[in-house]
Amino acid sequence: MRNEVVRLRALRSAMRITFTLGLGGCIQDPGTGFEADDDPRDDGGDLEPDADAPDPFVVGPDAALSDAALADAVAIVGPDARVGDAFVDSGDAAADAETPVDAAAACPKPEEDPEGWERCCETQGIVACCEAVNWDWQRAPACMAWGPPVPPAMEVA
Amino acid sequence: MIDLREEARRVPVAVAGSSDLFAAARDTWFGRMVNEHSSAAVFAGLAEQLRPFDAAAADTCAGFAEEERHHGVLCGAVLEAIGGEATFPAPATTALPVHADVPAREAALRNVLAICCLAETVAVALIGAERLEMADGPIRRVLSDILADEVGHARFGWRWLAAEAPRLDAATRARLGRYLEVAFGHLETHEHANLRLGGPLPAGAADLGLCDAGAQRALFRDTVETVIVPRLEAHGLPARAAWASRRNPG
Repeated sequence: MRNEVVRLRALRSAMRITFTLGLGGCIQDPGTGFEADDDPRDDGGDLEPDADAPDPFVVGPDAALSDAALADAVAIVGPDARVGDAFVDSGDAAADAETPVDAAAACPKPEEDPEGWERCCETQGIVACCEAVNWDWQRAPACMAWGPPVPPAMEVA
Repeated sequence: MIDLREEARRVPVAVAGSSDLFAAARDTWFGRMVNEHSSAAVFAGLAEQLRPFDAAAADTCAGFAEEERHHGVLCGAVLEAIGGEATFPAPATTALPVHADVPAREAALRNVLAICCLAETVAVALIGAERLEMADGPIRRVLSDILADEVGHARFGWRWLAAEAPRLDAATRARLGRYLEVAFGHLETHEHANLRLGGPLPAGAADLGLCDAGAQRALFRDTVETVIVPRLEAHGLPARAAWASRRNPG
């Protein structure tokens, strides 16, 4: 089970970046239901963005952009934020049944149709691609969802 | 095939020893390498879609595309360090939807919402949690570098939304709400496909980037429900109803 401190700090990291400074000042809405004080183990961080911080939105030298963003990330999660005893698996993850949304189009096996498999890998994504080669997904959990996918098109009635 | 080996081997990531967990970790870092590399095209497409409205914002997104590509190299560096090979079949280059059913500026906002306000905000939470659970070392430094960029990507979207929201009329907000139903469902499907449930994790797994997919799925849901939905609502978008009515593809 995940350590609650980790969960709350991760949520706060995400919350913090959603607050923005507009031309008219901070548009923070106090009614969002998530406040810094919610976590009594809070490290003293502030949900308010630093108005003087370099703005990643402004185009500038790559290094400046990167430094600003890195400083922000470090400020969010803390310089020594490791929770060493946090990672103990619940043991019943498998009880969380796969949901229907996990379904993916099947790819042909590469030994049977190498070109078809490669084409399928390009069009159906990594999950279908790997399952065609009997990828052992149960060998360990895999957490690969980082980069944003292509947004969906609106279904036109 | 995409071959990142040469670039990846220039990144100083040294992981000591040889662990039984390396094989499992290779699966994860391979998937991350592919996903991150593929996301470069997403931001490149967004850059071109935004260019007619804001050249500076477009240039910023073009920079994000380079960052995503670099993340692919960083993930490839970890993969190489634990005995894998940073090559993979070239991913399909799917163009961003143009959303021809709405004005161009609203179409761009749809994509900003899906990419930055949804997917990248979730990424900040997921990577942030994983980083908190990882021992200091070269892999954690890779996560820190990636997290730093993802913060910028997500923040870009929220700032774009903050600038656009005041000029949205009621009909536009309603249309965006209907789009969010699709975007939420699409993102949930994507996250679940990439957060594969598996067996118990032994000690040391977190330090190699192996994580509890069940916990990450829960964090995804919490991020949507306690962060993204309230903030979209604060900007006048009917996100709560959209999440409740989300439509998963397929």
